[in-house]
Amino acid sequence: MENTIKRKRELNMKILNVDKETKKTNMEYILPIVQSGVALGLTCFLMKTGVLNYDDLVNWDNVKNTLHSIPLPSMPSLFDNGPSSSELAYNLIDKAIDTIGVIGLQRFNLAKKSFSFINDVSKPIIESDFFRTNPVTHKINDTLDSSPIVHKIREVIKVPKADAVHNTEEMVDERGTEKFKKEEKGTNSLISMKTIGQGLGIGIGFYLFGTNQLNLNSIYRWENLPHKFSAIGKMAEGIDLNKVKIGTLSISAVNLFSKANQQKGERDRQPFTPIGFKEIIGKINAEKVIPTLSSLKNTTSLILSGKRRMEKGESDKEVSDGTEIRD
Amino acid sequence: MLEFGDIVTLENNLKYVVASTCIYQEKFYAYFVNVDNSQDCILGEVENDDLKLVEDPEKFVEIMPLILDNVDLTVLEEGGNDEE
Repeated sequence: MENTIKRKRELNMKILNVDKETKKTNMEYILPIVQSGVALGLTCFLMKTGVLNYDDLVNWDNVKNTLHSIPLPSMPSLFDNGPSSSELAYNLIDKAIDTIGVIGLQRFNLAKKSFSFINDVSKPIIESDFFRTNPVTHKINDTLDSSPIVHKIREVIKVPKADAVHNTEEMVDERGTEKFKKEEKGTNSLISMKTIGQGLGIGIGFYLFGTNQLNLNSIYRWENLPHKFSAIGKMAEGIDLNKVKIGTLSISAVNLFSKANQQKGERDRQPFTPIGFKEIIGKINAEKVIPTLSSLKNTTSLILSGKRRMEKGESDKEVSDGTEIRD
Repeated sequence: MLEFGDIVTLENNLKYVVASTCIYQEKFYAYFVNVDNSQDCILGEVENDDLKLVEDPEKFVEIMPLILDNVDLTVLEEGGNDEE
């Protein structure tokens, strides 16, 4: 009885103070808080309405078999013996374009915006108690824990203490009264095991999504969205989210290899050529249509204006800026 | 009346940002996010300085779309991380 009373009291609270001033001068402080909170609220809403359904994310037997069958990679040769970073990045982008297709690329940024929006939405829930105690989470963790390839990745990204600290030298500050030790990190950290681990992780993701071992399309049930949010659902209809994921993984790979190349340059004390996404795009065959910057911006604004258009009852095929979306 | 960006201090001495508001069945609702813990979010009915939390899942599903509808999606535009 006492707990019930206490609980009822917590459900009703007094607002002691309202600060209307901070937002006038410090919106930068407020926006990230709002962003996370709204993302969580939307995620809860999507889960409660059955739109977001993690239970159907994976075919567990296939994933287990896939993870156990991937041959263990030789230890990092990304920078020494393998193809150059730019070739790898170029090949990945080329592969992504082949997978998504020309029409897919025209809608890519639209899908990416929708996907990244949802991706951001799912982050807080993944970190929450709700998700951590969910049976699906335990399945994911069990599968990963039993996979040799995952063990290998974890070994790679872990920097042994012995390697992390090579030299220590005592130094005296300018007053000559204090001594401190300067620890010089080993060369492994300059290469960045984390970068290597991320690269392997991207490769695994690429493989699993590309072979439909992980199927994002099963998570999102667009038809369950209530009308007010159907703009998002309609925009995403027909888009293969797995291909979108491969596309975003490819972009991550380009960025990662660019960073890795920079790290290699620092390690070798050689001048390095930064590899950017634009440079890679420039090498792509012109027949493979790459959205221009203006059309990318247009498609991004579409997903925002689409919601408003749906409210006004306008057709979702109408586009105010003249850009046509082909089915 | 509470507006987006207001920071309220509740009876438990915790501070929350007002992320969005809406009117539902002639009652005023607001969605609050704890400034120190963004996983602590409250959907509540506000009347003067009284806040009544919405705990019923069905009511939550009814009200949240209105709350989310009033959120400027450009707030979330910076979100989404390509890095895996």
